[in-house]
Amino acid sequence: MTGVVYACTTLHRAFPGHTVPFTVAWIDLPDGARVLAKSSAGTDEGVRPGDQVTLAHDVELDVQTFDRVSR
Amino acid sequence: MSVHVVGVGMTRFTKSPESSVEELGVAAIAEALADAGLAARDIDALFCGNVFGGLAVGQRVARAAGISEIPIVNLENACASSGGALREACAWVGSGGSDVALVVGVEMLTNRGGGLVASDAHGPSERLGITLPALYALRASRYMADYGATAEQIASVTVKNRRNGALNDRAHFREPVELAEVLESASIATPLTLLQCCPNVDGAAAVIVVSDAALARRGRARAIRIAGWGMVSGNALDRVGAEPTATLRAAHAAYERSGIGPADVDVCELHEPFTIAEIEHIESLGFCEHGGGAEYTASGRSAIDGDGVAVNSSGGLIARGHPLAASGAAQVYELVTQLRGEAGARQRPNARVGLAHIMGGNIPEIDSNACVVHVFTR
Repeated sequence: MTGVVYACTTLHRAFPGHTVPFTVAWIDLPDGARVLAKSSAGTDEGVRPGDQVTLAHDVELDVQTFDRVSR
Repeated sequence: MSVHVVGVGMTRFTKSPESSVEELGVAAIAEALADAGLAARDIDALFCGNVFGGLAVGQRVARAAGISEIPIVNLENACASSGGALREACAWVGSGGSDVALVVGVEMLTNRGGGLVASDAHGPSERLGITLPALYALRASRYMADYGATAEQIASVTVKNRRNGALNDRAHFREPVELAEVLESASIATPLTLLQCCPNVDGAAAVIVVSDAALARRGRARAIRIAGWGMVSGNALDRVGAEPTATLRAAHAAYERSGIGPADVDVCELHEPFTIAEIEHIESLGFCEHGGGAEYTASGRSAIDGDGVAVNSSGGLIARGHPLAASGAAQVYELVTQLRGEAGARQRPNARVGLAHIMGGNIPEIDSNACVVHVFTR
């Protein structure tokens, strides 16, 4: 599934059990939904609002992940 | 029927891990009673805001303060807890249920270990490891993309609020900071740096509100009227790209009820746990147009000596510190002090109208747990 980055941030401080840094984003989907997802690479400091991404589900972590496609 | 503030008190907000909610609460209450010229036996209802103190904090504080045989209500709405407690007190006074009500906000945070305050442990975002500063950082990234605001403009909130805090003996941080120092402090969640985040501190603040009849008995000296209020809880944001509107909705209600508009406001205490929040809130409160908040702040308009609304003259959450449930009552302390003309070196000249805005939120998919706005006039 593809979507567009609405907003993004890279965390440098997090709760125990989460390795920093890591990047998260709100992703707008074509049907109007907006979901929080984590970069599949862990960190993607280059991602910006408006970027196109693909969304996947990380079964092990049970979270949504995104990959940047293009700006 | 009007409701009037006749007494305020607060401890210094700072790190005091050896203290207790009882000790802090009693200190704030004692100052508020002395300020009002009232005794503990004059209080006929107590409303206590607290988040992390456990059960019956209001009853424990009352016992320590020598207050008994009155109804006590405990209220938890995250950071909006004592703003909400004030709203409940006003509802009781306004409906004849109380003549002299005491509001207390109290929080011990530093005995919990410091660092990041827990967010929603039960929600779908928990597994992502999202933090409260990250939620605000997400908003900052969108704001910068929408309006071309710069990291420097956003960080200027800290420079202003630390300058104000240096003039406030109740604030945790008493030293001003330079913009470069703010930007070069440790990155927490891009673009937000450490000095753009409010510090975890302990503290308490108390407010005494009275009815018209009680005011007539006591006399009007130094009384401040509560002219209007708005209180909302958040809408779900997890569908169809909804935008946060809690501040807009609460402010609209407060302006409608008071007949006072944003152009009338002289001094405002608002909820800025992170710099970007102040920029967005001054827009939602109507002090400037949407997208104009960064320039409004960076150009000095919201400084005490600026030509706009003086925002967070106390130093705000970033300089005064943020003992969650105590911050709402501390905002009232600052506004009452300003409207009485007793703010000393941080006085906004001729301040006549004040607005307090506090909100609490820890759930990414909800537009705040609660948002409370009160308007005050002298």
